Amino acid sequence: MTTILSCRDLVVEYPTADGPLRAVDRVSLDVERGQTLALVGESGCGKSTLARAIMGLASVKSGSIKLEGEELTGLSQRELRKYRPAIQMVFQNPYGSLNPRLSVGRIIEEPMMVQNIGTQAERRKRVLDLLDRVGLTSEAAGQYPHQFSGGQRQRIAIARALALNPKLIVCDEPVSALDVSVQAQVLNLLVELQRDLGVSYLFISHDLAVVRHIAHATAVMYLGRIAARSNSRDFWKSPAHPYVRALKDATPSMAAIRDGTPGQPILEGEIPSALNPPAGCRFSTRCRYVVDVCRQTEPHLRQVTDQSWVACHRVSVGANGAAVLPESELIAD
Amino acid sequence: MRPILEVRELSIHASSGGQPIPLVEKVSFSVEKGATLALVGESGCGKSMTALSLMRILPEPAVRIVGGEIRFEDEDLVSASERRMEQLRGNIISMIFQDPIASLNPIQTVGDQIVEVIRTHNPISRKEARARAIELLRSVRLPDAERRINYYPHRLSGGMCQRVMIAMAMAGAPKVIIADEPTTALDTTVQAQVMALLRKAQTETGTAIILITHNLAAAAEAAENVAVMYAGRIIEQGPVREIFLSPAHPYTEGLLGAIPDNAEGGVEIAPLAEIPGNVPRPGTLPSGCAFAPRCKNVQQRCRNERPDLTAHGNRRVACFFPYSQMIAQ
Repeated sequence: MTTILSCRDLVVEYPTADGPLRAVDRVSLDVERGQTLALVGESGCGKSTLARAIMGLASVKSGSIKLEGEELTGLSQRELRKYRPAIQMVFQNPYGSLNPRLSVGRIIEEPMMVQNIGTQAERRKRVLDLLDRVGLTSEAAGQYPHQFSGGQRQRIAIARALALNPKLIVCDEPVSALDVSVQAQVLNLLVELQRDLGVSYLFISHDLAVVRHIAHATAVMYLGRIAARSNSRDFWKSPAHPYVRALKDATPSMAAIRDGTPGQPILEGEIPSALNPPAGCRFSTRCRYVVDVCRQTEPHLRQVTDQSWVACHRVSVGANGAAVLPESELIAD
Repeated sequence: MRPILEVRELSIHASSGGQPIPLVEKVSFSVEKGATLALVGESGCGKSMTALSLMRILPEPAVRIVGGEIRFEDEDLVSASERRMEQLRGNIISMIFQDPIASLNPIQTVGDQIVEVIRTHNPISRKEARARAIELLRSVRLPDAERRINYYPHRLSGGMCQRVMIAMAMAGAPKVIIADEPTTALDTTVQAQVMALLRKAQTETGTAIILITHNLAAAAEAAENVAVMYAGRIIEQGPVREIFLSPAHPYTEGLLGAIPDNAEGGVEIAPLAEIPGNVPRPGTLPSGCAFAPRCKNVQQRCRNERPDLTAHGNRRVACFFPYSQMIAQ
């Protein structure tokens, strides 16, 4: 497998009145060619900041971002321009991310104009190809965003992202604003494009059902850190990390109807402030498995099985080779 | 058991000068004490307008009830006076909205807002009301309630604001709570907390809940009965388990198939079942069945005639050609 994008010990800070807020703290991850890495987490976990850093839209304090081996951090805006076509983005809100005053053809053509690619005739032809590719008719080129539904607008945004033949598309909650029936159409389109074009996705989402469907690999963030990651499509079947398990249990599922509802314990409390993260493990203030060491020493991401890594002191490898938590020592609720 | 709230043939139209546009057409459902009914559907299906109409807070005169009844105990709320509605609203029938931060008044402390609700309906002193407010905030597990009662909403997280909204909704002795997408704006773990809180309130007080949601899995977990809406009409309704396990209407089937729920494992990503096309906009409905243009089982009759909601065993279905394997049982 070829790694398209690789982040190592990435740190992104925002200045605030109360001192620097470390939104992304020593994060490392890899996106493989033709695959989808899902980045999961609740609000304030740093997933969108990480995406912005990869896009060159947030300044990196330390660490590295490599695109096919080329270092992107520390480059000037001018130098970065060369790499921009390779990484494109699809945003959450298809109503806010398309310029309402430009025709759809012009919206899709614009990245090519910025990069001085082709003649106008060549670009127009490419626009029609792209529209066809995302399931819209050529008439769409002469129309304006307001004439399209949310799902169709997201198709337009995808066509624009594809215009420069990117290697990686950062998709920030691309289907969250869509109705269920339309969401399925857009997810299917993304999967189909990946299969045909070999593009990679960094897919940011809070929706586990969507992530489970589309991702080859997954990284779960909590308060700026990666809590767990895995290269397996089976990641969500029996997640070892207590936070990941809590996320899974908190997600409503049709399984309740099929198998009867086992009352899952509910994760109490809310995410602490990133300005003043807890000492030791950041999840220790809410974790049911917490012991003294968790409050003192920060756990590092370590490999527990073939394909999975967790940052948790309490996870061990069971007799069958699976990562497990000490169930018998559970602190009574 | 006799339902606490029963809606019969409710219709809601919008008019902006020209031809009135039907938003909700002849919708009927009921909910019993201590039970939960889920109204599910995609954007524009009329579920939120239905919710607003139950409280009689539609944006009148642009949008108004044009027919039907809302029976609450022995009264019809459609014809009730505004004065009577003020007694019921926020007291006997209360509502929780999707965006808790926008639903609270930003220039009043959360305590003052709860006290206002309590004192509107009860002749008690400010001090007593305040003590009651703290009690309510404790019961919705707002951490540090005594201190936070003095906070303005912007100092609370979305989840905390939703707890305050629930405390307000519980301030009277609500017999019905209408929860319009109560967890959509919240994080996953906070969603579970809020749903658990609503369940707890329901168990303790026996209040009925009408849960409006686009999330079928959330409806599956919270409700005993479900009504699936499409383009202003209920197209299938009945026991949630029965309907979600074996849908009779092709739209219900399509919605369930479109959820990426058990797609897991394997290297290849299997395509999701799609419903082609888009949700129709109000006022642009086809003449026959509103779902006909997107339905995979469509027949000529569906394009000419609109199917009525008809009883099939425990459920009601608006389709000329429903899936019948389970209807036999």
